[in-house]
Amino acid sequence: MSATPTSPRARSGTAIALLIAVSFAVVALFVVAWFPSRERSAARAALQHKVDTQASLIAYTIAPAIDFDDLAMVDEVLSGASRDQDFVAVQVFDVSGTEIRARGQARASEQVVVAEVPVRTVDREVGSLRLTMSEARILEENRTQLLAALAIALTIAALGLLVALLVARQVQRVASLTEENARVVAAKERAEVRSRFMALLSHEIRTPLNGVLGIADVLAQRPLDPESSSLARSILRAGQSLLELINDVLDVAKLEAGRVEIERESFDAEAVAVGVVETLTSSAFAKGLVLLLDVRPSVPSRSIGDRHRLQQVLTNLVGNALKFTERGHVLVRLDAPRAGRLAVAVIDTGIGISPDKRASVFEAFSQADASTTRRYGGTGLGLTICRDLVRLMGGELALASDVGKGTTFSFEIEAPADGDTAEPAPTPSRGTAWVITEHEALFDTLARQLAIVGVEAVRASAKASDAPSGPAPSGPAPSGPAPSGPVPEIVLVDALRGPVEAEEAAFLSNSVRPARLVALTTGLAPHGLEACRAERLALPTSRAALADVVLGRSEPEPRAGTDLRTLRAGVRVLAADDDPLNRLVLQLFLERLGAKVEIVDDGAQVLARLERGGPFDALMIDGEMPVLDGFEAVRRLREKERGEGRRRLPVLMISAHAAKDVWPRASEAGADAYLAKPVTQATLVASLETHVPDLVETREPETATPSTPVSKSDRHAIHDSFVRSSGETLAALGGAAQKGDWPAVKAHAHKLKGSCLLCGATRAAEQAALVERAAAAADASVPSPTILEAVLELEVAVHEAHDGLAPPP
Amino acid sequence: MTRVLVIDDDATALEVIRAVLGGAGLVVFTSASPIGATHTIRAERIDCVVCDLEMPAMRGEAFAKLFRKTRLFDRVKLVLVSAAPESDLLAVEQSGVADAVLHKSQLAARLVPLLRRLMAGSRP
Repeated sequence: MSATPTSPRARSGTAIALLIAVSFAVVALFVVAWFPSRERSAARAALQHKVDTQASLIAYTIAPAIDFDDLAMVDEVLSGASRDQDFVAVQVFDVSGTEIRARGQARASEQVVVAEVPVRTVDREVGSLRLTMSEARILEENRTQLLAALAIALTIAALGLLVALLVARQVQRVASLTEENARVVAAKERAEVRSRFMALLSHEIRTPLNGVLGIADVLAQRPLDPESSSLARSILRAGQSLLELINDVLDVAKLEAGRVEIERESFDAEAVAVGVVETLTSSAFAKGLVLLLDVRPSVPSRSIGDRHRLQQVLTNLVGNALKFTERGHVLVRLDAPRAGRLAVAVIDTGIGISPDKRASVFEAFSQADASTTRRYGGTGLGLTICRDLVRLMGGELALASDVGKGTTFSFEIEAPADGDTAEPAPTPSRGTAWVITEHEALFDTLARQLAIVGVEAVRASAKASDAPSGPAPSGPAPSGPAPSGPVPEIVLVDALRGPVEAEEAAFLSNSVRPARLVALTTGLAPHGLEACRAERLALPTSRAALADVVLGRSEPEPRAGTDLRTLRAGVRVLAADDDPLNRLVLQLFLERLGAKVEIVDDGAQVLARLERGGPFDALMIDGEMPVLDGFEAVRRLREKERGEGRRRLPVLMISAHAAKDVWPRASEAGADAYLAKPVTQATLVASLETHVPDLVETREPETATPSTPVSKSDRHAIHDSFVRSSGETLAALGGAAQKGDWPAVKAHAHKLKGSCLLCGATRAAEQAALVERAAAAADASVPSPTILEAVLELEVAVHEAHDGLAPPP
Repeated sequence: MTRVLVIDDDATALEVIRAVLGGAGLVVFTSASPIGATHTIRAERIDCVVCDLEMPAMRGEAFAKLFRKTRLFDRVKLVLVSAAPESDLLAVEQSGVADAVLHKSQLAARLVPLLRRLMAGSRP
């Protein structure tokens, strides 16, 4: 970008150039005007001196001749003098002034130098002499000098002009670069400030939202009447949407500020894809869609890249695909077409995107159609984030779409293989497997994956009417012979979209009777083949897991269902959070998981509690707390454990900040794991399962008992306690406010805020926080109408909470 | 029996109103400030609040607005009293923040009939 002509820096550059040009012009003028003039003056003075000297010499020479009246001698001397190159005329006068001899004559226009000297003998004056010489020679020399000076001046002027132009151009360039630099710096600063603001804002929003989501989660799991249950789920959904928006906005801000860095670490791309697809399988199942994963053999087992960012992009693209697909499937394909590159494609059979809308879908806050937002939800930021993240990973997000048929988002990123990339040895043939499915994409995917382990997939139907003596081809099988031979050892049956019909199950069980019957299921519903003693394979799964099942190397594990995991009986957890609502949520979750929980307010209390003994199995601690924060508390705990040779207590650090920002500090302090807010029962148990597996056990589905909600009497007791304590605090606060005792008002308001948060009285808590802030800012011990009105409003809000939160009798 | 809470920072005014209302057989509670009034209204099952409009620490109008905003006091009547010029009171009355606005000079003569009328209107 170039500087505008009117910019101050550009103007100053022009001024400097002009100054240089003028300076050179002055020097040139000086050279022209002064130098020849000085030379001419000097030459004229020299000529005058010469004329004076020669006149004196002639006078001296002719003095005796005049005294003796020897005019011939005078003529001879004058003749000699007339041979001088500058000579014009010489006149000799007697004492009376009469010219007695003369030679030469000056022209009127001629510039001459004249010398008049007396002619003296030793004792008297005998006459006078006037010698005239021409300046013609001097003028001629001077003219030459003038021309030389002019040439020099012109050269100087030209040089000056050149220098001025160069300087002007350079100054303008510097000005332009400086301005561009300033713009870039300013833009970066703005982006940085915005990013910081967004991060702060999102944190401030996420903290209370965490509480809302936690409470809604608890509510949604309680046995409520249908209307209340629906309302609780609505709160949960709305809260999750809000959280998604906040996270997206934060990501966009970070990307714009250039604050997103791509990690380069070893990771398993297939595991990332499996994880993403597993997470979204329930959404697909709920819409009647099939979510498929096709990992090509070329994909290395370990790659170098950013696992989290790939996961983020995949989650977004698959989530989007599910959102815009009403029937059919969504297929995630991983391939490594070239060394060092990982190709990813997310293919759906959804509504598609018209050509004129394709460019705009990558723009922030843009969806293909404004009505799309209303119908499908979403922030319109997802694809912008994906595009930018893919670029950071060395790729470009591409879009291909056919309206009404589907859309493919694809990209290739830099992901060099970590370790041996040699092609696997050819697998020996291990026979045939029938795949009973009507879903072509599922069959294709399975066929490719089975081929890797040497098993040939043959598509078949389980309808008795199609094949009286056994399964028969259903539609054009893409490869392999028709299943006309003996029944293979293994038959895979598609139960992804729901249980296999009883008729089919009976046919498979009674007529086909394979050695191994495997139900392909999402793991989210019965597969209908339970009575046939079918094995179960939860899809999508990794290539290795599929191979294990098909080759009979292992029994597939049921998909980790959060409803089946719980804490070992008698597990004792110490938890610390300064936020009462978070404490409540933590306590509820942990108790529902069967833990015995003790909760304290800050890190100092954690240390004090641990000092008193009472063995705990784990510590869950918030990072940011007053008095002593979680990081310092864990650091001190670890020091003490080392010093006293005590058992290392597993520590999970909880924070609303991103893992990237918190984990280094938490890890350095000695935490074993990090748990991001909002904490849910599922994330809580998953984190414990990962980091303290001894504490977690999986119940058998048939023995799993429903969680016990907080009892009615407990809820009444909590409410009564809230009414009592908040009433007392309000009375004390009111008294202090009327006396203008602001420190006391602040302390009471803070306490009240905690009580209100604990019981979910959000508005009252906000009002208490407002009073707390106002009291902290008050500096005079006189009643302030503003604070008193805020106190009055707080009283009303707390009493409203007393009514609103009262449990049903 | 109608239960009335009187809020006024002027002790004399409180006594006067207490005497007027008590003499008419109403149950009277008093407070020098709106602070704490919420608790009293709920705890004492107050039917009507008579509040001074102009108190140095807090304008009664702020209390009145809050009073109207919350559903806690849906069944409680509010009368604002003041010694301010009647033209000022007219503006407050027209704003609708209170069920009635009364000049302090008319307390003795009009407050009790006013309260009886309001309470009669509030009961089916």
